Order: sequence, then structure tokens, then C-alpha cells
Amino acid sequence: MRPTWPLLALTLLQGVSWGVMAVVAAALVGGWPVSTGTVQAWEWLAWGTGALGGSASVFHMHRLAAARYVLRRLRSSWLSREALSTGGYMAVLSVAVALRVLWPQASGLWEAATLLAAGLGAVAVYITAMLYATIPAMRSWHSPLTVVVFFAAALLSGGAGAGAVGALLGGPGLGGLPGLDAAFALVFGALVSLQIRAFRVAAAGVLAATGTGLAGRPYRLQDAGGSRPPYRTQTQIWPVLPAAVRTSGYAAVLVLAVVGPCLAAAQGTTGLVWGAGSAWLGVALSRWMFFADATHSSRVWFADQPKTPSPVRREPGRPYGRRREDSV
Amino acid sequence: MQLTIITDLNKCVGCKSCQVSCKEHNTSGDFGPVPDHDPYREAEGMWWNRVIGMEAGEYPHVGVMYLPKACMHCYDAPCVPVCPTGASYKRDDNGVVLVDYEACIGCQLCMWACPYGVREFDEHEGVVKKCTLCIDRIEDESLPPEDRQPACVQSCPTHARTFGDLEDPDSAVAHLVAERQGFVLLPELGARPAIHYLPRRHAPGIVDPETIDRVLGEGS
Repeated sequence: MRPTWPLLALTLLQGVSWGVMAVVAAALVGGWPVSTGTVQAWEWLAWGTGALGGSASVFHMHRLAAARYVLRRLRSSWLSREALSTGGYMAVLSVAVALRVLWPQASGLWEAATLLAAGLGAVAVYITAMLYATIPAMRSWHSPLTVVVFFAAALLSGGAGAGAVGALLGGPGLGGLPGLDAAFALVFGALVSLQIRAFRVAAAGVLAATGTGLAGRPYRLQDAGGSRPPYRTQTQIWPVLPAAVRTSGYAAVLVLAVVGPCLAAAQGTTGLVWGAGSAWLGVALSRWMFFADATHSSRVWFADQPKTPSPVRREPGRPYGRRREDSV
Repeated sequence: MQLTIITDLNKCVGCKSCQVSCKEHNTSGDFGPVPDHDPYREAEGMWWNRVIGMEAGEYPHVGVMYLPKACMHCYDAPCVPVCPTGASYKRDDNGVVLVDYEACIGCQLCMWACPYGVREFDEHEGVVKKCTLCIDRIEDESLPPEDRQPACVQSCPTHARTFGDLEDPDSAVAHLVAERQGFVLLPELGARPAIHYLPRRHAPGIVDPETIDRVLGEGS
């Protein structure tokens, strides 16, 4: 589908915000040796990114006049739930930030508000991910993997951001756990690899034969009902990414989000800052690929389909498996 | 009641009469909303009904299919529950799926949820629009009965399209679906579309006059 900047900003910044709050909650619960100033800076970072993400979501609505109805379908719509959960998360986080600034001696209350915000943030990330994972027509996203990848992206980008801020303030990054950034990066890389595979399987399952009932391949689109496929008025489909763009895009994701943070983790303060930048770029590119490389079921009527040889055809004297010369 | 359109794929010749009449009615007719800002200059603009042309096979063994595709008015319309504002809804009395433009925020989630790619985003008004089954025509009692049907049905020159109540066992559409093995698109996605298609049959073989004379001669 067509990637739009409000969706990218909302999902990415919400993830960063909650990822940072997860670090704050872990520091509070785990008793990490971090200074009060560092925790306060982390909370400001979470609040700022969350506020930016929430602001970006406004631009995804094209008719703000109807925004007052957005909570009408809480019983069935994940988007209604997303508006409620993200709003609730930001409200509680704002209270926590305000308590720290205006009433610093109420540390118990602040701690409770912080932990509550971290919990609500997890709910908000889950609901945002479910919004995408529960659409059967979007074949690439309709999987529990989508939810797991959203959480991994949030932990990587938030953890890297918190680590960089902690190091800049003279602390030991993520509470003296320098390997945590690299661990987040490696887990994220593994999940992205699984997602690449899932997206290819989804694309291979959307067949023109399903949509037309015509026997035989290849299929050629003669007419999409207009002078070309409706990419302008139907945002759920987008031109198929060329193989070179897809390959280089995913390679850049793995380099930026996995290799970069892992190499930078051992380089001290400067390394943590560079690693965070690399991780953020990698996660942002992975989210762009998440939208741009997604396959919608309606693609069966809007794209050609090449002839593909049988990968399981068995010929005399030849074992099962695709022949090299059969590749298209 | 579940209103529907049945399309006989044997009769559809891909003339796009249905596509054009839909746009004409919903743009410049007496009823209905305007689906485009400048409908006659934007060739790539909004079409609520698109006739897809697909060719399959390799020469000389080639098949061509024309598939008029508009809103399927599904029983379990996936576009309805995902809508956060309730702008997308399915009418209880006749099963038509509609969009309340006043409540639509233009988030386009319904377009992603629809398996069929039949919803279109109007970037000028910021709302999602789609086939209404010409609800303004079929409920207008001032029209003569023969005009109370969707524009695409009325304009089809080959009578490939039939309009009626799918849940009335005596209706023409129910008979067509039952007797001609009417099918729906992408049933595996679980939307249970109301719109059905009648499958294509093999074209009868061409028999030359000499063969006919020979067969008749063998029988006599």
C-alpha cells in the first residue's frame, strides 16, 4: 500500500515513546543505577516523541469535522481503540512529567504514574499493531508476526534512544547493560527476516486465477477500469516494488537496524549516539517497507502475473525441487 | 432482504456501459453525490464500478475475461466494523452498504479492509466513496418501476446484469444463482459478498455444414 508520512510518524514515534518508557519502568522496577536527571530526560524524550506522533495522526484524518465521532465503534474498530489508548497513554504520561516538574517531592505518586503510563503504552502499541494484523485483505500483515515486530521495533528504537540520552548525560547508557541495545537489534533483525519471508509468501498467494477464474498463466492486465490501475484513488494498492528496490531496502534495514547498533554499542558515548541514529533510521526504513511492500488481495485485478514454472514438478531421473534454469 | 446484482460473465462484452452510466448517474444525474471534483477531466479519477479486462494464456491459446467490479454489499462487510466513526454501515432493511459522508474522517481504513478494491478516496472532499447500489433510484417512488434499478443494470446492452433480492427464493436473482451455480469473488476471505457472478461456459464448437450433412446422412 502507499506509505504516508502521518502513518509512518505515528507508528514510529509511538513506538519510540513506549520503548523509552519501557526502559524507565525497567529502571524503576529493577533498581538500575541511573540518576534522577537521566530518568527525567528519558521521560521528556518519551513525552516529546509521543506528542509528535499523536500530532502526526491528526494529518492522517482528512475530515477533522468528523473527528468527534472517532470513539463510536470501540466495540469493533481497532482504530477507535487506538485513539482511546494512545490518548490515555499520553494523558497519564503528561501527568507523570508534570508531577516530576511541579511536585518533585511526591516521588511515590510519580513512580505510580510512570509505571501506569508504561503499561498503557504497551496496550497502545499492541492495539496499533492489531489494527494492521487483523485486516484479512492485507495479506502481508494478517499475522501475529506483525504485532511482535511492532513491539520489537519499539523496544529497539526506544532502547537505543534512551541509551544515547543516558550516555550523553554521563551515565552508563541503559543502566550498565551495554549489551541490551545489541540484543534488541539482533532480535529485531531476526523478526524482520521472518517478516520478509511472510511478505513473499503473501505475495505469492495472491493469484489472478483467484480473481478471474481464467485457466492458464501468464495473466496480462488489459484494462483496470481506467487508463491505469487506481493508485491515486485506492491507497490499499501500490505499484509492486522492483526486486532491486526490495532487496536493497531490506538490506539497508538490516545494516542500519542491526549491524549499526551492534558495532556502535562497544564504542562508548559517541558510539551509543551513532547507534541510536542508525537504529532509528533502520526502524523507519523497515516501517516504510512494511507499508510499501505489503500485498492487498485486490492486487489480483490490478497487476500482471508472470508465468511461473512448477517448483515441485518431477521429471524422470530428477529429484523434486526447482531447476535453476526454470527460474523466472 | 438483501439486494444484489447478478452478472452473467457469458454475456458481458466489456463495453463499459455500466461503468460509464454509473459515473454519469452519480455525477450529473438528478440524484446522488458527485464522485469526483472534475469527473470529465480526470481520466484516472474515481470510478465506483470498474470493468476489469484480463487476458490469460499464451498465443494462440488465449482467453479474455471482462469483470464488472463494484461494491459487493457483503453480508459480513469487513469495511463496516473497522470504521471508527460508524460512517460505514450496512442497512438492516435491504442489506445495502453505505457511507455517511458527514461522519467519515477519511482515514481510509475501510479501503484497506475491503478485499475487493472497490472503495475510492475522494481527495477533494476527504472522504471515502463507493457504489450505493443507486439507493437514490431504487427508493424513489416517483420513478416508474422500470427505472427503480441501478444505472449499471439499466444500461447494460446485453442484459448481463440482473437486480433483485437475493433472499427472496422466488426472485430472478435467487433462481439464477441456484440454477447457474452463481459464485462470489475471493470467498476465502470470509466477507460473504451479496454480489454474485454466473460462471462462463465453454463456447460451443463450430460445426461446418458438411459435418452436419454427414451426420444426418449416417442417421438416415
